Amino acid sequence: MNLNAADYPDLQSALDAAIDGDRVYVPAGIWKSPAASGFKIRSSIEVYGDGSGPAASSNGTVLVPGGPNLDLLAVECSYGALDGVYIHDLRLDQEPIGQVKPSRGVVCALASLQAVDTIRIERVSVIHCTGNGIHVTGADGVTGFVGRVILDHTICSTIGGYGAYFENVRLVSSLRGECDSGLLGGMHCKSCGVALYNAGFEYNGNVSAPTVKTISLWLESCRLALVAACRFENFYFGGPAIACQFDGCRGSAEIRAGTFLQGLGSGEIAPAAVNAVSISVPSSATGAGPVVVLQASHVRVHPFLVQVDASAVGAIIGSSYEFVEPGMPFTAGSVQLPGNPNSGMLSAAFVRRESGANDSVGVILPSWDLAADPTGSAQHGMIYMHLHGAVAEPRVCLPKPGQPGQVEWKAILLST
Amino acid sequence: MILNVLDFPDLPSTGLDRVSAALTAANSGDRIYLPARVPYQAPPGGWIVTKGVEIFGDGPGPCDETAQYRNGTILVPHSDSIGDHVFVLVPPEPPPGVANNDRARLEGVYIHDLAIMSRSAARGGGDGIRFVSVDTPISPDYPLGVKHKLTVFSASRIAIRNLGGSGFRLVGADGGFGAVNNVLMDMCDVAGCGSAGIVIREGYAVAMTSVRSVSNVSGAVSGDIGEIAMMGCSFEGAGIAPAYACVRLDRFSQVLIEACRFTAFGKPPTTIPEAGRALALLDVKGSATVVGCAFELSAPNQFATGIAIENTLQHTGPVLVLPNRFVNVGPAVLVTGESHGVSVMPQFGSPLTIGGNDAAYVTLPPATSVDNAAFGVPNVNNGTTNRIGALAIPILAANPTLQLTSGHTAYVVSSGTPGVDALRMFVGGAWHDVSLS
Repeated sequence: MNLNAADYPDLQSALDAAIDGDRVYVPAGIWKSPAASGFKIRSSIEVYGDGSGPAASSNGTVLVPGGPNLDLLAVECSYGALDGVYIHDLRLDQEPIGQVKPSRGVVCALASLQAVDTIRIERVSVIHCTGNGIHVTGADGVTGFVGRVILDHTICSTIGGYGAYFENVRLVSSLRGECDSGLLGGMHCKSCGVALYNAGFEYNGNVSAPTVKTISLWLESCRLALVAACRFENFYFGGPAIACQFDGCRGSAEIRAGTFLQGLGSGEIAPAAVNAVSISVPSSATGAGPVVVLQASHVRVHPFLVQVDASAVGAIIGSSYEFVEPGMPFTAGSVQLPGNPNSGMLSAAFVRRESGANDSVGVILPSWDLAADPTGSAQHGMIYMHLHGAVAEPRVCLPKPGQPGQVEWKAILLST
Repeated sequence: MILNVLDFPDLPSTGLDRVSAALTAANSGDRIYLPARVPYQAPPGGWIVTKGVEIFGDGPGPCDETAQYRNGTILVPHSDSIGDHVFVLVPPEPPPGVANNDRARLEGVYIHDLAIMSRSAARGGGDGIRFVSVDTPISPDYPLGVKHKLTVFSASRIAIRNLGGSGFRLVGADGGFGAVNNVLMDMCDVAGCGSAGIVIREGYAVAMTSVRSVSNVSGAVSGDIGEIAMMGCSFEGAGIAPAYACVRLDRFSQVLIEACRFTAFGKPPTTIPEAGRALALLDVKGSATVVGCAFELSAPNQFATGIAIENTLQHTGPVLVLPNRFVNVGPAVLVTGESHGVSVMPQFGSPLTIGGNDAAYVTLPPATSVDNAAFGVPNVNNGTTNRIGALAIPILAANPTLQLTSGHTAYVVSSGTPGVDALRMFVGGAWHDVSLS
């Protein structure tokens, strides 16, 4: 059934009247929440407006807080599970006259034994929050979880926390979303599956606190992290900065066809650690990877396009393009792989520079510090670099004479 | 123009229910609205859609297999008979005497925001949305037969439950006038059906985004020939013999599977030797890429294969398997012989043994299979102990003669006789055996 919020005393009354499967239409205009609380969605319904309208205007369907420190639109699941909530074509913003800001925009914070299957947010703008713009957390990912969060054409802008924060969500997928001007960062996903396509991250960080490390997209302990055709712009504010950090991800992580653009101004030649992509292994983790970085395009990034911690495994770095401004060191935009036995790296980390020298490298063989050759996974046609103490020797695996089905490792003899 | 079906008389006894009446009245490009909380029962055989129209409801609502909660727009088949479908897409017939051209095509059908369910909590009825191209003579006027074509078909936010057939059955006859072209399925949810959840054949430019297909008897997706992209989908189920695959794609020329989740595809090991496969890529004839997917099983059905790349007819490939996640899975990636140009990159897998047997391993074509051009670093990270892998380079029976670049080419030459294989590199315009210990 389609309910029109204009037929009710206020929007919350319409939300309360709706039952599972209903649609609540919120016509264009300013809709102020109760003074003591934000709007609450307690059933599996669709809530939609006449469009978000431009920021700071009264056009479109705009939800605003009725008082300070309110979560503006909360999805609540008292016990059990909600099938799905669908929110689209509206804006969550500050109150236009007194400019009272929401604490958080869209919120779903589940406790144990609570689950929401799907939260779908399309063509929604979340603006001027003092906390996170979109905040969705499952209790532990097992007894309390969110199945899927789908963001399509959704914008989080001018946010005091993260533009979007997700924790224990089985899959966050975003198409053409944007997180900009988040003081803590653009998006932080923790213990989630993540797939982002064509998303934008811009001006995330705190210019007033440049010593705080800024991460535009922080993927922490994610089982799946897929970032494709995304754009990271102006992610340096004078201190340590990383555009995209894979932090202790264990499963599958990939970033491809990314654009990393550091604009003119103070960030043009960054003296600090400003990396486009960082593959890190926190001290609490026992490893990270595999991670794939393919065909990224970078502008004015220094020192590293890609930086990989020592205990990351299975990283694959493809070729990249780096635009180096006059005056920047030619080593800008380089790829840093671990210097230790690298646990299965494969790379042709060629960097094409617009000016200056290109970094040309060959294929990097996996290397292992072993007393003996691998046996369990040895297969015909494999090559690796055998490290044993100070001895490094390339070896190839071939069929064993006279023993069908058996293979053996042979050292490759090098000329002196 | 929007047509509200409630504005049409409902006279099912005369063979014209209100939805059929709206479909008859509509012109191509019109929108047909089915408000919620009204039971819509299809006529015998299903509603026939012959025009490019939009059919939409107020959303599927929280579809519950027990039929207790049906608050959205719910459509049911006429009976529990397997021949009673819900929507049947049929192109308008071409002019008399014209056959095998592309006039017999249905273009621009868009169905969204509704649920298609069996009449009760029990499974019953035919297919949910059905298109079957005709590739045989259908009347004396068309002695050559008419191949119907479906093009630009979209389905969004449709829940399908407990049908006797498939949720979607889109079957083309060939890649031309009988094809299924430009299909988008978005946020569709197919569960509990008696056949495969989604059946597609000769489907080209098919995209599935955020689709869920679970607990269907013959697996989640069964596909033959075509091009398909799946992103952010969830699939469950082991399928049935002989495929035993949750998602089976046979002879596809283009496959892209990203960020999908496969679960419950295992079988008890004592039941079936193969014990199920999450994703079977059979006889790929073009390009296939699998990346960022999760394959997860629970005890005791853990001895299933994650990704099976198989050749059954001719050479298959290339296939690129970028990092994926395998939990409680037997072989993570299993590549059989004569699979060419298969690249397998590092994977995440845990645990590395199940019941004392290897698990989460990668198997490339055996040494008896040459010319496979397999490439990659098939090592596996489980976070604590890594399954060590090395760079796998192509194995060939003879020196390549084309596209040679000095110093850039290396391969293992396989003579077929163990012990005389060699590592060769092309340096300085000639092939050289590299010295080995």
